[in-house]
Amino acid sequence: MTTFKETVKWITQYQKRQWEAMPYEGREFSAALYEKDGPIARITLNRPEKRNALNDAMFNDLMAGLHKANDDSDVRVVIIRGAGTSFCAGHDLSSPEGEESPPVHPNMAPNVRDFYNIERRRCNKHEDLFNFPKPTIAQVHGYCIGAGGEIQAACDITIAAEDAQFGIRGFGVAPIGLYGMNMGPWPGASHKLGAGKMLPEISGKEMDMIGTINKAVPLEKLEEEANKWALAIASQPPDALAVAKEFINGMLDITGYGASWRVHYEGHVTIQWVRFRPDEVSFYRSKKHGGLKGFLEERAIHATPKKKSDPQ
Amino acid sequence: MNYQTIVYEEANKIGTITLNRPQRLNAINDLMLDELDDILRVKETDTDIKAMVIKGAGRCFSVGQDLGGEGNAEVMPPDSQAHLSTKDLIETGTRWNRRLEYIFNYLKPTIAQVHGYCLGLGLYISMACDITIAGDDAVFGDPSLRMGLLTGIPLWTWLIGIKKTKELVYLGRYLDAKEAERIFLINKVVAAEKLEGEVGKYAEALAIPPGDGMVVCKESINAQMESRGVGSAWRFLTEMQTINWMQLRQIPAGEFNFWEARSKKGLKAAIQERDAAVEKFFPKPSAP
Amino acid sequence: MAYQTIIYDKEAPIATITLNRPEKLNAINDLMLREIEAALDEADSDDEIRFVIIKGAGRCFSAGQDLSGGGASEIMPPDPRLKASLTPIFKQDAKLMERWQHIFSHSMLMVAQVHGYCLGMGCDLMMMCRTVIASDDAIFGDPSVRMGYATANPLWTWRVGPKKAKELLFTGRHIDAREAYDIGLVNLVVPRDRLEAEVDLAIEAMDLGAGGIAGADATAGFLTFGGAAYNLAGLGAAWAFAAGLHAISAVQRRGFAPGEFNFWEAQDRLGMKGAIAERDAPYEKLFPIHEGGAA
Repeated sequence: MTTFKETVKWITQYQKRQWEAMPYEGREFSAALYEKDGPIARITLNRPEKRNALNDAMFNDLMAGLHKANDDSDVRVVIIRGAGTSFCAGHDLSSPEGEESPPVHPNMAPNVRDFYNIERRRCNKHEDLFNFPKPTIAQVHGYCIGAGGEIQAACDITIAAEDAQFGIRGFGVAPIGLYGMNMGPWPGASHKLGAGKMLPEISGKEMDMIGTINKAVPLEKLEEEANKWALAIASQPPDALAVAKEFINGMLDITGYGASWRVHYEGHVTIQWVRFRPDEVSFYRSKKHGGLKGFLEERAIHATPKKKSDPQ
Repeated sequence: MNYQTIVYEEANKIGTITLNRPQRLNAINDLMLDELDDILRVKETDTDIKAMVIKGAGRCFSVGQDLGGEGNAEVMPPDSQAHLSTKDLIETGTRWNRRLEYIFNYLKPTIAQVHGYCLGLGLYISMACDITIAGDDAVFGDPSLRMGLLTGIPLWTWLIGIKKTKELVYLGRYLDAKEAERIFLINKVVAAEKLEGEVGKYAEALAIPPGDGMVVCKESINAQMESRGVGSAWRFLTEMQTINWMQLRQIPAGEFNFWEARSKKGLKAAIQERDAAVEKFFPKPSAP
Repeated sequence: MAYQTIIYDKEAPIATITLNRPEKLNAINDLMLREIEAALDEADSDDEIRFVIIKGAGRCFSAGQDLSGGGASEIMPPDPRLKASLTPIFKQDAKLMERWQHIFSHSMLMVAQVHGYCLGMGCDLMMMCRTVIASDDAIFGDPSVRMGYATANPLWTWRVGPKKAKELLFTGRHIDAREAYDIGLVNLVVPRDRLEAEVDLAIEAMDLGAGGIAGADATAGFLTFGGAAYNLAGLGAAWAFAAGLHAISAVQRRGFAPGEFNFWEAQDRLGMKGAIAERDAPYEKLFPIHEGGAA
């Protein structure tokens, strides 16, 4: 009788989920760490000197960690968290050209077919995390920006520190992809948070009030709270959890999640052909002159209004 | 109309259905399902009645499906040891979901007036109603997953978004009325003694416009949800319930088996055991 | 271009459209909707414009559709007592839908600056803007159902969710700025005397924010594909449903049951103001109308 594991060898590269394609046997986890704690697998993004900005090495370790967690029948729930002062500051904009993480430099001038290939691999990582067969919890503190925001949005549950910062000046909390679909009472409204990039930064406390994350607690209680949720979920029948997740994610597909992911790709494709106006902060120009730090500073300065806002 | 498990009254163009098994906390059994179906059907085309209120007698709205073991073959999942055919399972799921879909599409505006417990199928009824107004003593939740069951309604994500849906469905967590209002699971919470008056106010308002105009308003909003996939969601739920009910045929050793616990220790103890694991982390809001 | 019912101002990168019928509380008629559309097209074809503010002159944003009985045959369905045949009613709604979708899909960031009353079609216009900033005296609502109509605007459900949409649209009740903020209808509430300044600040923040990684081109791209995502998630169909059902509600063939309010009959008897008062009277004791909007 053919076992399930045997049939797996017939699956082609494209049918494998990103994490499934990443081996973990004998792997030395470094850019993301893996540890097992009873029914909980903890994956810790581990480039604290870079605020856990995502590069290929970190993505790969994250994917391998998910693979290992899926194969271990003791593991009932996965927590993803960040080492150091932040969860994840997004794609590493200082990665060398050729890495998949930063925006693809227009000088590389990929044709659209190649670009879509890159984009699919890149964005499918988030989609594959979203559909990971076991429950996932994002434990968020410090910065949670850009692709970091997508990672937390792809997890089933997000527990954050009250002073965690979602979004950043000059980049905002973009209302596309899973991030956008997670907002407001009506999924996809992205109204309060994303519309017109009104609020560039949102705290964990506010995200909790609006209902787009599950819970915010003082930073010193974050680890304990995430553990609590993990243990509670781990005490539930695992097959029922699997069916429930498949059902809820499946319904979201019906409501346009798939479309939302595609918006993400098309947005990235668009970036390939933008031209910057003189008064805009050009990532490439700025980085060339001042390095990444210079760009971030310039962007933050430009994104700060001169006058003070006084809302009620 | 002589009903045994519900009471129906009419006044000022408003119909009120009271779930009436207060000694069982209005647990819904097969007879109550039938009687609810019946009164809704009979009154749907009565143009003198312009709005329908659903509420519960005694201490609460409803604790949901009657888990007791008698007179509840339809309201409970199919007997896992009877090994029904796939076709029968699909048909059962279809009936379950069409029942709630019917309430959702009811040709009059509906208000759920909630006090005390509103759990499981009770919560689904509230979600399917157009407007839910609750007293501050109300407690909402869907403990299905704690028994290895999938939730019984797909409307969650349309009302409260993804994260909160997963939280409440995975954990089977209970929440109080204030939280339910904050996350848009219900419309409004008022002091318990003001509940009847507040619902009366809304019901009176719903009865004013021409009935045809009102039903077109409702149809428009429901059609918008349909455009977003609600129709598929009802259907998809049936599919997933079928898988879930097949899972129940072989509950792994060591995992909580509600039916076994009930036959060994009785209903009350089985429910307690069901809830114990999660309640350690997420205690119930204080009992109303 | 010379406009009669609106004022179009430009100070790059911002264009401002001011609804300008203050003596009529900026009630929207056929000409005004056409002019709003034209002004948006004008802003769209101006490369210097990246933002549009929509606001109202005088005491409020807009009291909604012009019900006074003239110049609104495109935006208002015909008097149901005339028993117009179905085809022109459906056609009218289909055309209107196209116009609203056109307004919604402009590639500039649109900001609604709302003070005082914002009712009925005023809310529809407000919702075309991705950002809404309101003063604390703003009042919102849609009284369509009180006249037997279903609104043709699907965005209520998309903005505030189905339960709140049903609550508000089934009763037509008014909500104040605080409640509008709590349910996600507006992004920000500020004191009346800070409204203009806060809108300026918000646009400045958006302008700088949009500069971000890839500038206005990328913003235009995100708006385009974001719009597509809405459509792919059903907004296109939802809009068509809302338009078609608005038409059906406008037909009102079976007439009115004894005692049911008939706006057009009341208007003949009492004039527009009297008819509106009679329409709203039974609701007043249930949902007292807030002070704070246009008196």
